[in-house]
Amino acid sequence: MQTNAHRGRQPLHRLVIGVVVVMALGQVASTFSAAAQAPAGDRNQAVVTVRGMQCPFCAYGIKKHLAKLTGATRADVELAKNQAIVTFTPGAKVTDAQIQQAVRNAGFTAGAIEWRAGTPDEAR
Amino acid sequence: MALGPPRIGAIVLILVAVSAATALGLWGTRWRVPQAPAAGAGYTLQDAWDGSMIPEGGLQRPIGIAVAPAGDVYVSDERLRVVHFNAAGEFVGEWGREGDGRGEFRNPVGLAVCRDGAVYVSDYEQDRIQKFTADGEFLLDFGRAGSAPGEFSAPAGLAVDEANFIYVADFYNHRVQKFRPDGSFDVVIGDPGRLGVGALHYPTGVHMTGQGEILVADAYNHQLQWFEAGGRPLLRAGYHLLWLWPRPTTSTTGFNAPTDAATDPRGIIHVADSGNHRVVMLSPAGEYLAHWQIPNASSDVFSPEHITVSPDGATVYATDLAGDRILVLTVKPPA
Repeated sequence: MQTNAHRGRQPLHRLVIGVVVVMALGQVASTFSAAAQAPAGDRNQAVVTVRGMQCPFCAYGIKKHLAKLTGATRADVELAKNQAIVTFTPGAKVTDAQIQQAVRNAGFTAGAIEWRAGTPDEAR
Repeated sequence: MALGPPRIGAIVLILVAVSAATALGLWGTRWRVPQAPAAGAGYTLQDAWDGSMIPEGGLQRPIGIAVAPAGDVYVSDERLRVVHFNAAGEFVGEWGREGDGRGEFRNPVGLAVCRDGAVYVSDYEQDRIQKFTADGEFLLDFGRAGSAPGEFSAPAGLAVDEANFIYVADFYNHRVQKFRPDGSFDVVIGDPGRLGVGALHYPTGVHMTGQGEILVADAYNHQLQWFEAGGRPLLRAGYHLLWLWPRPTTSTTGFNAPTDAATDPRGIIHVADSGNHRVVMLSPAGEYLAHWQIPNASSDVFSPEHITVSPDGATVYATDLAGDRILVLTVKPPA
């Protein structure tokens, strides 16, 4: 026979399990989504939104970390626009998650990442 | 849930232990929080150099600046070069180009000039320091990427002492490193951290005072810290919540990302309070005297970045990266 206390815990258990499942699915979706957003075809330039990048030392740090990504040929930062622009060699295998990690290593959080076709000169 | 007497006793014991540890941690530190303005002290904007007379192009996002013993001014900028001006702001020469060889740069950020006129340049991207003659002839280089002693992760501000030892603000390693005149590693100054004596968090500037103390712009602890030449912490200035937690402020009781500091022959300290877009004047003890605000400064970019003082202490030079110029300020010391 179940006590009232046990009956009270059942919905809580279901809620916890539900939250865990949703989080796990979200993580899986995020991983696949990041992989799916790798540059395809001529989209070899990532425009990364980075908030709070007013300090040049921080901005140059973000630029430095992004430039180290495999396949990166150039990285630039636009302080006034809160943007970092990374140009990759065509066909470079880089994911949004790797870009986000590079920005995190520089002490910031990456916002939206937009992929476009571009040349290093256009990033200047 | 009610706390019984034994649990309260344990909490009190922990609090006492933490307080004692904190007090021990702070022991030996002379606190000087900026207080009240001093009569007569201030700055006047005398000039702004944009380098428009430079044949290769005017100043573009200048960041590093240093004054030579004779009064000449050196500036590094985003055109990957060092520009040499005389004290009147006239163009004397320049050197540098993109690359990783001798005399080549990826991002020259910090500058320092030693007594014999040699110029040191830190490269944020290359993780190395190069030394040149006053005219830009390469002399030596040292450093590489990493976190071990003698290695850098984005070297920023530089200073040289009377004996030609070199001090480097090692941004991502949260420390200052001291090198011998031949470029060999000597000692690490400061530890990574947010609290306590000697803790550094993204330092961007370093300066040798006339008293032989190391003054560090501990930018993201929003404070200045003084160290002995051997590395022992001496003093801090800035706003600290509950005397412990360094916090940014727009008031005259502290700073918001102070990125550099320099002292003049009187011992007066000039601070590039970049997040507040101002130059702050402090007494030799670290107390607030006056400040000057960049007019119509963009809130999108912190400025000024680095700062230096003329040998006679009459003029302060500061890089205004956002404005592509050097701010030249006349100093009015306190009466």
